[in-house]
Order: sequence, then C-alpha cells, then structure tokens
Amino acid sequence: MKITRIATLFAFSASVLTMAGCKDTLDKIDLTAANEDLVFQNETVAFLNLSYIYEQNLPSWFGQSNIGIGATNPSILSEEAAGQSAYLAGTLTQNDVVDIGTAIGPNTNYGKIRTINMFIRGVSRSPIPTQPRNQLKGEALFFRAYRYFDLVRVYGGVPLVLTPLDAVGEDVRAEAYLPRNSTTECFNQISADLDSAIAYLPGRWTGSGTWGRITSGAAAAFKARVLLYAASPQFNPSDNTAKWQKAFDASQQARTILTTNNFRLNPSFDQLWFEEENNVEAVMVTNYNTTANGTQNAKNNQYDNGTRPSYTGTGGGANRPTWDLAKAFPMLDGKKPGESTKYPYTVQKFYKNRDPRFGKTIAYNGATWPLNGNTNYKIWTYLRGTTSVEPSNPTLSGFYLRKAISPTAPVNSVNVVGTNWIEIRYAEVLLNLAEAACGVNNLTEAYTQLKAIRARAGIEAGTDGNYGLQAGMNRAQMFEAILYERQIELAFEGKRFWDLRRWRKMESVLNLGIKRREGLVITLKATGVPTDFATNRDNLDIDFVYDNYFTLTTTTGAPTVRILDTNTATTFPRGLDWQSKYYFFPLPQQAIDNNPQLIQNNTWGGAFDPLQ
Amino acid sequence: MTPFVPLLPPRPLSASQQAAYALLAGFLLSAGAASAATAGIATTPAPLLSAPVFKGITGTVRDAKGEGIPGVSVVIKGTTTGTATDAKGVFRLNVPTGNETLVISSIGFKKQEIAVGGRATLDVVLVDDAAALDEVVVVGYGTQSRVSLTGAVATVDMKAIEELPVGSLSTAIGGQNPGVGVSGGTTRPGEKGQITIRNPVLLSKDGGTLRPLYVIDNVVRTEEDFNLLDQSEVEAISILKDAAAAIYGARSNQGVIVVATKRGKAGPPKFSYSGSVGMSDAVRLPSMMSGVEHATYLNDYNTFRGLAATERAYYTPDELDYFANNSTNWLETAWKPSVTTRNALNVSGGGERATYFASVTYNRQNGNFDNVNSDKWTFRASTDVTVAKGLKAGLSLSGDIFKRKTYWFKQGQESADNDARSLLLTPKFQAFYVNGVPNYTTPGASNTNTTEATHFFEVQRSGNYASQRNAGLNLTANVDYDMPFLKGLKARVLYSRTLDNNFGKNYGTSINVTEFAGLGTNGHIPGGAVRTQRVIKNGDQVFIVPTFTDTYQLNGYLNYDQQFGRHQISALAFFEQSETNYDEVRTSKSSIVPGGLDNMGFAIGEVTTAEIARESGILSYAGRINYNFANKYFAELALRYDGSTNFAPEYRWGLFPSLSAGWIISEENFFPKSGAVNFLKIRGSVGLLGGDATKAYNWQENYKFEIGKGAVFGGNTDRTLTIAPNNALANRKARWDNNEKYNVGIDSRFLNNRLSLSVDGFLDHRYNMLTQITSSAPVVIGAALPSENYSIVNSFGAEVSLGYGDKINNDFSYRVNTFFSWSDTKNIRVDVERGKIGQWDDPTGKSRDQGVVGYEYLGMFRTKEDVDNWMAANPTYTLFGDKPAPGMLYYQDIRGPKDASGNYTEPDGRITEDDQTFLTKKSGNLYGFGLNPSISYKGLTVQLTMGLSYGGQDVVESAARKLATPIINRPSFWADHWTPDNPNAKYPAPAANNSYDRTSAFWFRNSTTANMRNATISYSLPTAFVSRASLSSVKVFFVAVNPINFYNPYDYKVYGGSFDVYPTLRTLSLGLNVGF
Repeated sequence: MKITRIATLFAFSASVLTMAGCKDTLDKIDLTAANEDLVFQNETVAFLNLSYIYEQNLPSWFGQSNIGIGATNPSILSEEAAGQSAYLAGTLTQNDVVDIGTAIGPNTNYGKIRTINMFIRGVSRSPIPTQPRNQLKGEALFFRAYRYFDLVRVYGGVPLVLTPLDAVGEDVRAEAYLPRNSTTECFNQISADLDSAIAYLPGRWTGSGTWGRITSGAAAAFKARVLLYAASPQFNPSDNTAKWQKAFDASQQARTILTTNNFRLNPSFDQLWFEEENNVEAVMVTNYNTTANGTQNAKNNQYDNGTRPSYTGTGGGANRPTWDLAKAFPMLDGKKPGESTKYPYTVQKFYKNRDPRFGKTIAYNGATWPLNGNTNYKIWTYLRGTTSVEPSNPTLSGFYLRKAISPTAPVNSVNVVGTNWIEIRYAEVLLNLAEAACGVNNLTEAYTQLKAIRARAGIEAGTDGNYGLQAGMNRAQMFEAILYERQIELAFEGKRFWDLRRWRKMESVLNLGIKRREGLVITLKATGVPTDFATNRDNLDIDFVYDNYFTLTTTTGAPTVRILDTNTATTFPRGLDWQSKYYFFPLPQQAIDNNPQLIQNNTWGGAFDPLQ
Repeated sequence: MTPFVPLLPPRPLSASQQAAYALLAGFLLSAGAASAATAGIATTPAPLLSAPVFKGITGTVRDAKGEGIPGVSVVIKGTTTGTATDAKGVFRLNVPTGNETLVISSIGFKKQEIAVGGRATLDVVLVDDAAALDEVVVVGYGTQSRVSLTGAVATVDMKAIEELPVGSLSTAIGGQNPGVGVSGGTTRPGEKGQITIRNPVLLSKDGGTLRPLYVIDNVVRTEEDFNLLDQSEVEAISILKDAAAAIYGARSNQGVIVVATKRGKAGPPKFSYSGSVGMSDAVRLPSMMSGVEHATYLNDYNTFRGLAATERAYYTPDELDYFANNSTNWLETAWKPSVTTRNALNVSGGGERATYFASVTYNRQNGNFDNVNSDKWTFRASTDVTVAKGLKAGLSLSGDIFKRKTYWFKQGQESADNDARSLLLTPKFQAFYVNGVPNYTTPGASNTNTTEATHFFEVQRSGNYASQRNAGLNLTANVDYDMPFLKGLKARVLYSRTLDNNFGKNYGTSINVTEFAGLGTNGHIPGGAVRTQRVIKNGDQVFIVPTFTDTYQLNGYLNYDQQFGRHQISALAFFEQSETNYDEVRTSKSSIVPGGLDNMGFAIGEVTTAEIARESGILSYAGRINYNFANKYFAELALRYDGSTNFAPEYRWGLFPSLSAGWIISEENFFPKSGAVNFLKIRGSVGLLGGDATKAYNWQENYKFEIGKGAVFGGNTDRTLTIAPNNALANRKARWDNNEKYNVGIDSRFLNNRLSLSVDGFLDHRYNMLTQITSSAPVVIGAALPSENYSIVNSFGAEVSLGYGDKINNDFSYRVNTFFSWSDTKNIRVDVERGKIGQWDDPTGKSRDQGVVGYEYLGMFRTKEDVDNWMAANPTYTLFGDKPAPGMLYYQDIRGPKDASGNYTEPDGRITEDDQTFLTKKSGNLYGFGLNPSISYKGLTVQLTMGLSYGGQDVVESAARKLATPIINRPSFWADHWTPDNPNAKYPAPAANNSYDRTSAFWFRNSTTANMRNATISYSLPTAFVSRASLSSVKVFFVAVNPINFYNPYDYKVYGGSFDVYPTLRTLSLGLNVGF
C-alpha cells in the first residue's frame, strides 16, 4: 500500500472527524424568553410583571372577575335588573359554580395566584433594594388576598397555596393534593397578607403613571370589607361580637389612613365617575383608557356603550333598572315613599321629589339626561299603543341606567370612553364603618356615617338634622337602615347581591318580596294628546305631561307593570327561588374528581363546615 | 438521430481540474480538510495509466416483446466504465480484455450480468421486474435489495401515482399500503394530505407530532418539503414502519418516510413531458333546508316553546308564500367547477463520467370559488460526476415556489372554511343583496363580529384574502471516495442546506352593509325601508407574517461492503449534525382606506410588530452492520446516539439500538424446489426508537414580554408593556420518550411467483412517553405542566398483503394487490383524574378508543300518552332538567350523581351528564382493506385504487344536530321534524334541543367507508408508430380522483367529515405523457 493512499485516507478521515466534533451544534439558547434574573433585575423591569398581575386581577365593571359566578352580572342576581340565571331560578346544580377551577391552567383563580406567588418569590430573591422590593411585594400580597377573598365568599375555606407549587414528578404532585383550609384560616391569611400590604405600601403614589396602583388605604379598606363579611350572618350566624370588633377596628384603620392621604367623599354623587387621576373618592380603581378600539393598548370601558340607549351609542340597552329598584329610592327628605309627609308619593309622578340619587341613577321617561354632549337631551321611553317610541332596541323595564354614563362622549366614540371602574369608593368605606360600628353597638358612629352619605347625596337635613333617618334606632333597625342605604348609594355597583347573601336575606327580599322583577309601562293616552306631542314634548312641563298625557296605572290604581322574568319552562319556573343552601356554593364534581381531598360543603351533602 | 456516444477511458486530472475539484471539496469541507483532500486527489490517479488493450463490442438490449430498450445502463463490472443504449436499444463499448462481465440494468427490469467471453456482439433480453424481489429498496442511509430486508418496509408504486393530479405527494401515495394512513388533500386547493404510519400515539400537548419523519435524499426535511415534491421528481419512496426506522433514532418513533429523488442516468438526453388538465367539482354539495322548510321549522320551534301567536318571530303565510318562490341555495350560487392543471418536464442523460437530471413541474388548482387557488412550481437539477477513479461527487439544487390563496374571514371564529360555512348556514330565504345593495343577513343582531354575519359575496368582491407564498431552496452536495487500501471501504461526506422563505399575508377590509326593516307581515322578507347602516369589520387590516428558516445537515460516513465467500458484510458508521435557525416577523397595520390597494401603504391605523426567533441543533452518531450468509440468513444491527437541544444538557443524549433478522427458508436445501411455494421468508425486528414530543426549552422556567396584556396606570394612558410567565413550570428531567417496536413478518410467493403474500404483526410498546399531565395534577398548581416522561401505551396490529398477477401473453397482463390491516391500542398508564380511577370512564387498561360516549337511546315521545305512560312508571324522570314532552328523545337512566365517597349512586330517575356510557366498542374504524387492481392489454392500462374501512361507529356531527335559528340554516333532514300533526316524524321537535343534541344511538350512522380513491386509464401508442414521429414514447391518460363512493350512509352530505366545510372534490383529468 502506498504512503500516499494512507495519507489520503488519513486526511479524509481527519476532516470528517474534525467536523464531527462541532460541539456547539448543541449550544443553543432560548431566543424568545427571558429568565428570572432578567425579569427581577430591578424594580422597573419587575413592575412589568406586576402590571400583568394587576391586569389579571383587577375587577372589570360591576366588580366582575369573569370566572365562575364572577362571569355573571351581579345586578341580575338582585332586584336591580332582570336576567336569567340558575342562581335565582333555583335550578343551580353542583357543577355550576366553577370559581375554584375545574381544569388546570394559568387563567383560573389558582393560576392567577400562582403568578402572584411566583412574583413574590422572584422579588424576594432578587437584588432589588428593600424599599422598592417591599412595595412590589405589598401590591402582590394585596392581590393574593383579593383572589382568596373571591373564593372564600363563594365556597367558604379553600386550599391555601402561598408558594409556587412544584408539580413535576408523581411524588411531588401527590403533595400538591391539598385539602381545604378552614374558613377561619383563610380569613386569617387574607388579613395577614393585607396587613403586610398596609405596612409596605405608600398612602399615595407619587409621580405620573401611578394612579391605579394599590395604596395602603386601599389595602386597609379592602381588609375592612373582608372582615365585615367575616362578621356578617353568612359567616357569623351566632353574631360573635369579637368578629364585629375586628371589622370595626379595620374600618377605623382604613378611614384613618385614607383621610390622612386626602381621600374623602367627592362633592358630587354623579360626577365623581368622571374624575380620572387623583379622584378623592376612588380608593381602589380599575383604569380604562380612550385608546382607539381594537388596538393593542386599548382598554376601553364597554359598560357605557353597552348600557346607554342603543341609539345614543353603537351597542346599548343593557343593565336596565327595574321598577322594583325605582320604587325603593327615598323621597327628597330621606323618608321612604309613602312614609314621607312632606313629599307625598304617587305612582303617576313617581319621579317627583325623590332622593337626588334617584334621578342620577335612573333615567326615566321624560327625564333630562345630558347625552352625546347635548345638555338638554330628554329621554322618552313611553309606548304609543303597544309600541315603544324609541327608535330601536327599546327598554323593556321602562328605564335606563345612567350611573357613570358619559354625558359628553359623541355617538361614535361611546365605545372608547375611558371611565374608570371604582371598585372601592370612599362612600363604601364609610358604609362599612357604619355597619361594623353598628355591629359593636356603636350606633352614634353609624348615624354619623349615614348622615355624611346622605348629606353628600343632597337629601334634606330636616329639622332634626337626621337626613330622614329615624331617630333612636336600635341595633337591628340600624343594620336595616345601613343595608337600605347601601342598596341606594351603591345601586348597580355589584354590591347588592353580595350584601343580601352575606345577610342571608336573599329569600326574604327576593323570593318573598319580589317573586318576579317588573318593569313600568307608561302609555301615551289615546285621546286628548296634541298631535304634535312627539315633536313638541321636549318643551313641555314634565309634570303636566305626566298628569295629562300618560297612563301609568290600571283601573285599580296599581302601576301597570311588565313582568321581566318571563315564565317559561327553563326560566324561573317558580319565580325567583333562591335556595338556602346557596349561601355557600358547592364545589363542582370535576374539582372533586380532580382532587378528592376537597370535601364538599355540608349543605351540599359533604362533610365540610364552612362556618369553621 | 441518436449520436454515438464516444467512450473514453478515465484520464488523469489536469492541474486546473485538480484545482477545481479542490475548490469543490473546500466548499464542502472545512478549510483544513480541503488541503487534505487536494493532497489526496493529486496522488490518486497514477494506477489508471497502465495501457490496456481495448476490444469493441456491440450489443442490443430488448424487452420481452423484442422491442429495443433505450437508455439501458451497461457497465463493466467492478468499474465505473460503461455506456447506455440508444433509442433502438443498441450499445457499443470498448472492453480491456474481452473477458469482463457486463452489468446491464434499467429501471423496471431485472438487472443482468453477462460475461463477455470474448464475444464481439451480444443480444440481451431484459425481464420485466414487476414482481421482482431483487428490486432495490431505499432504506435509511442506503439501499437494500428487497430479498434481504429484515424490517417492515413498504414501498410506493411510483408508476401507479405518476399521473395523479393532486397537489401534495402525501395525497398521492394513499391507499397503496397497509398501515400507511393518508387523509385529506382532496378538498381546498393547496390543502395537504396527512400521513400516519400504523397507529401513532401522541400524549403531549406542547410538541411532537403524529406524522412520520421525512427524509429526502438522506437529509431530514419537513413534512411541507415532502408535500411540495412532484411525483415526477421522485425515484422511490419507502415507508419504514418498524424498527427499521431506528437508524433515525430519537425522532423515528412515528415511522420514517424515505425518499430518493431521480438522478441522471448515463445515455443520450431523454426528455419526458407529462401534462394533464382536469375539472374538479364537489362529489356532492350538502343539502340544506329550503326557505319554506326552514321558516316552517322555526314556526314549529316557536309554537313548541309556547311563544304567543302574535309575536313577530313567527313567519306568516304571506312570507311563507314568498319564500316558496324565493329560496336560494347560496353555496350553489357561488360554487363552480374548477380547473386543475399539471405539467412536468424532465431531462436525464450523461456519459460514463457525468450524468445529469433536471426537472421542472408546475401544478395549478383553481378554487371552486373565485379567488381561491393554489399553484406550485418545483425544480431540480442534479449531476453526478466521477471526478477520478474512486472519487465521485454529486450536486443537486432543488426548490419550490408555492402559492396559495383563500378568503380571509376574520369575523367570529376565524377559519378558511367560513366560505362554505357561511354560504351553507345563511338561510335560503335570506338575501345577500337587496336591489343591488349589500344586505345585512343577521337583522336585529348588533354584534357584526359573528360567522353568521359574514357577507361572503362582499368579502369576495372586496378581494379579501389570506395567502401564503413560499420559496424553498435546497442545495445538497456529496463526495464519495472509495478508500484505496481496503477494498469495499468508502467514505462519504454530505452537506445539505435548506433555505425556506414563507410569506403569509392576510388582507381584510371593512364591509358596509345595510339593514332593512323587512317586508311581509312580520318583516321577514328581505327588503323594505332602510333601518340602519352597519359596518362589518373583516379584520380591517393588512397582516403579514414573513418567516425565514435556514437549516443545514452535515454527515460524514464510512461504509464497508465486502463479500467473503458466502458471507457478505456491510457496515456503516456516520455522524450527523444539523442546526436550524428560524426567524419570524408578525406585523399588521389596521384601518384600510376604502378603495385602496392590498398593502400597508393604504392602511392608516395602528402598526403592530413582533419577532419570534428560534434556534435548535441535533447531533448524532450511528452505526449499522448487515450480515448476509448465502442469501439465506440475514441480520442487521444498528445503533444510534442522539443529542438534541430540546432537552437539558444532562438529559439530552439517548441511545437507540435495533436488531433484526431474516431467514429465507426457500433457499434451504430441504425446501422443495418444485412445490407450489416459490419463496418463503420469515423475519423479525426489535428496536428502541425515540420521540421528542415536547417543545424546546421546556426544561427552563421563563417569562416573556407581551404587549396589550398590561394594566392602565394614570388617566387615559396606554396599557403598559408586561412580562408574563411563559413557561411557569419546567421539567429539567424531560428526555426522549421511548418506543420499543417489535415486528414479525412472513414474505412468500406461490404458483410460479404469481401469488404473493406478506403478513406482519407488530407491537409498539411506548413508555416514558412525554405527556402533558392535565388530569392527574391538582388544579391548585395553577399552571400548565411541562411534558413529563409518564405514560405507557401499547399499540399493536396486523397487516396482510396479498397480490396476484399474471402475464397471459405479451399483450395481456394483470395484477391485483390487496391488503388488510387491523390495529388497536391499550393504555397501560395514562394521565387520569384521581376521582375517575376505578369508575366506568377510567381509561387505564383499556383501548384508547373505547367507543362512542353518549346516552342509551330509548326512543322518542310521540304523543301525550307516551309521556304519561312513561311518567307513570318513572315519576321523577327529567331530561337534563326538562320535563318530558312529546317530540323529545329520551334515554336510559344509568346512574345518580357521585356521593361523598366519590362513587356513583344508584339511578336517580333523572337524566344528567352522569348517565353517559360507552355506546359502542369502537368509534374509529380499526379495520382497513385495500384493493388495487391493474390490467394491461397492449398499450392500454387500467389501474384502480380502492379502499374499504369498517369497525367503528359514525355519529351525525354536532353542527348538523344543532338548532336552526332565524340566521342559521341546518341540513335538509330537519324538514321532517316532530310536530303534533307529524307525530311519526323521523327527527325530534326542534325546540327539544336540550335533549336531542346529545350523542346517542339516534344519531348513529354506519361507519363503513368504501370508495375508489383514484383510477387511471392510460394508453401507450405503439412504439413503431411513435418512433416515426421521432419520439420514444407517447402515452395518453385519463385520471380520476375520488371517482366513486360505493356507500354513503348520509342523506345530506358526502361521506366523512362535517358538512359545513369546503366539500371534497372529484377531479377528472385528461393528460399526455411524451418521451423524446
């Protein structure tokens, strides 16, 4: 064999083998993702992760969470608005309330909690200095508390997960089959997280782009709300005063922090919705913007366009107040309709001399309602014959909701209004304080707060300076008065259903009192009405018009109403029929199949006592 | 005419040639290697210079009919010296001594070796190799003769598919082999077929595929690359179904498809042109309710649910009368037959030093709607050069240009099928235009962003489209070197580079429609006063997604092949490395200016942009040894060691061994040579194969930046940028999943080789399967789990191929190939909820297909008495909460809800979701049968591909069962629905959908399918006639795709798939194939 051939072979083999040694073939990195070190390198970058947590957890309009019961408009679970749901039809099944999650994933409540826990872990082991680190942590802890409260008020105790659980490997997963913590443990954990948040967070954020971040006052106000629930009959049927005391302490703390930081009642009950930054009444707020609809940075408020009359926007006609709600408002002197002697109430002129909040909450036939920049706009919803005079999609209840509806937005930009949702108003803080004070029998404090609310509303103080409140109420009467005040002040703010539920008053108020929700039918008289009424009506005196041209009552003098909860096989077969076992909702079977450690509530055939 | 090809002996290389080859080598190899290669080449040619004495011989090669065969390769055995026959089958060759042996071979004929024995003239007759077992089969990293195969390797009969006018290669190869499933590809232009091999299983949700690995000319390529090949470029396709695929190691567990493209053959230039043009039309368009039927249905629906007769929802007699004469089948209006054309041109030729092949093909399919189409160009040029003795180089350049266009329907759920769907579901009494004005077809609905509100004709007219343009380029170069010091040892280097440019572009506008108040008593007749103008936003943007993929693969091989007496050994060792870089941009610009053009210059809104980049690499070392003793005993041992960037460094390497053996019993002395059995072989294989069913970097926890997911801070500012968890949970320990494949087979031939029978049985034992755990993990974890090596699933089955063919005489021959396949699976360990363990729906220990889940159907309540009688016996009976009523379907009560201990309680007298059970043993067809006859008489050939499958259970699809509404039509069978006046209707009362829209035997249809996939009739003009026109061959053919459906259990649609998608097409093509 010749040397040259060996050389050839050698050279060839060598070249082949050198190429085979390309180890960097496998030295690759993930080009699309960032690792933890990068995310938590400083507070500015870390805040981008926190912003994601804000977006995942901040409630949308009506305080909705879009999961489980949070996906149902809470107004239709009360007398405020009609709508079909299994909750009030009494047909709720075990599998209907899925807040706890029936499948694993990042957008469930526990998915959101995991993201929060990952953030807390990430900032805790980051090089971010203590001061900004604690602030970031405080905001995350607030939202963890927020999420757990959402679950606990639905079911009672749930498994508490406070670190990101590991889940790779069967043994590791076996440890993640956590049982439910007791309701008390959950409330304690929520309180503890909020205490940390109160300690870590500033009373006010300074600088631009900070409005909407959670403050110590928001955390304290939320804690007061949580402890008020814990003290309410739903969780405290034995009326344990110690729980009321805790709620009272938390409410006082909240008020102190907030007033120190210049939060207070906004002078205007209706205009408070249209103040954006530094709104003194907005304790916890979800910001919306006016960025063009459909663009990626748009977060437009869909409530406004969805609620107003369809012909004054591009959608419209939802959230129509019922006659039941309209009837409930007090008169201008703060007394209930029929109880006021100064302002006698008649169905024919139901709108007259009411609590100013009536006209600012409900748009009724003939009301002046500044819309689309027209300050003199009048809304007409009456029927001519059997047909509504509205141009399209007429209201069936006879009313529209006007709370937080922008008076200035032009028709074509109603779908991009940026009105912010205020989850915690300062007014609620005061009402919570009043209720907790009442719980510890401090009725003086309760009176003080109710009067403050009523004074801002524009109710007449009256000669006794009580703003229509009955003097010398006892504890039980005061609780009723506070609940009534909440119904009026916080109407259509997503609070009523939860109030009735925590007071275990769903059956007494809805089932017995209402049975079916009603709308008011106002019909134009067939005779005696000028032919130019339709064109001239805006210029006429409204009282005159009601007295002479409209029919509102039947021959017996009862209001003419339209049943809004129609009676078909699937909708309200028995009228409103809330069941007492709904005060704690059942865990869905899929959740129990997923984790048999979860024990069903005792009102649903299981052994878990949500009152423990 | 055909010139004599002068033959020259190999010459030494000139200096300039040496330099050129060095350059080539340098291009292929690293710089260091290049100088080594140059050194090697420069010293090689010396031994060729000995001066031989040449003798000329002349020969003629003919086929069985006595016709000369052109282009036959004639090579002196043991050398690369040779020539090819001319058009009349004549060759001339100089041989050094006159005692050489000539190897004479041509595609389609048995190879022959003839000793010259001093003769000056030779007459050779080549035998047709239709049933030849010594046919060469491509396998992983090489070829083998069919006799020596020890694995389950199926080959595609390229002749049978060469004229099929289908747009994707996958579709073309369907129906030929057992265990090779092909679905789809005969609907929308550009739609690709999909291949599965045996019974693939995939349990991961974050990666992996059910498709095989595609290998084209020894280079791992994508499924898309495979589909873009034209069959005229392909020499052979093999499908590795068992452990034979293990040589591809970690990505082989769903089987491997190996493709060899055509290369040049020595001889004068041979041109071949094939072209066809055909018409495609729906096998059948779905039948929907007419306007009157639909409106009557809605009236009956409203009556049933108790709607007052005064309500406007009712269709009044005047409206029904109008609909009787005004009912439009919208799909039919828009639908028309389409044209499919296919052109393929190739040329091949060369001398003994260099051969070449080049081809260009063009395939175009028009859609059955205007503006829907697809076309595809492919091109390929390759050359193989003998650089010097023992040194060969091959170069090939190939590519494709692919275009595809569909409509873009951005409304509602975005789907290309919304063209057919929106046309079918729009009520026939509705109108798309009123007096020429575009009509809003969902009057009263304020949400225009729904599939129902889609205005097909305006989308069509506005030129809205979703398009894909693709340009792919592949360059492959290889150098083969016969190692001079050891006979049979060869080295090879292969480098392949693939560039792929994909340009996706969607264009959607805003469409202005008018909502009319309607005519007729209740305003249901389209027309009347204008109520309002609406804008349908069909995307209103230009959306562009360009992507760029750059992949290379580099292999170095050593190959040893030698015979020692009766022992033949061949061994292969190689490394393979490949890297892929991928970059993608997604960008859009919104607000299209009305009347503008379809590019961003005419959009004035927001611009969004995102970039996605990826890189990955694979490194492998592998070896294989084949041993053959006396062509009787065969054994193969292969080993592959693979590393991939999909896994963490310490878990990325995997070793994949395989072993197979075969025994040809009929070669044994004791085997009767004269019996009915001509050939009998048994074989078996076992191997460990791998899969990488996960996404890259699942082993790292990470985050990603996102726009549009942040909260708003401060007044009316934009959302902030966010960082969100991307991979919230990592599995660092993830590694290749494993698949042990076992296969035993028998190959046999009987009756003078006329009858052939092959039987295979297989077991795929899959374990450590990468599984995305979703059920056996508690919800409180709160994030999708990464794939984990968890599940164990066995698949098993049997395949039988039976063929019979005979040549009656020179004019007449026929062959019938049939096959039968069966397969099933068994879950040994799978992801299951804790609460399901031990219950009826626990999948563990059962087949993956446990049958159709639904309710035990008992009947339909026809009358009030039916209901009363039933309620008397079952007083608490409710159907999903509803009280029974006439016109409802009712079911068997099987269980009550689960109790506190997690077990189902006794039947509770109520039908709920707890009452579901398995209604049949199987849902999918597990038996398949193929029948592929072909008959030739003189120049006329008829070839059919037919299939039959059965054993499952079909159910009327949910989209057909759903309630029709005033804006959604449903299939025609609904016209016969229950009403008090029609109590014996075939279908239930429309309003009872809560009880009938459930899976039950009521909706069962036979699942048997029997159809002819394709049929080809071709006629080759007589050679004598053809050669007068200076041509070598002329063939005319007629091809039909989906010509016959033998059985259809549905009365409203064609068999298979949902009715509301682009219909399956039947294509009839006429074509011509000319050889020059």
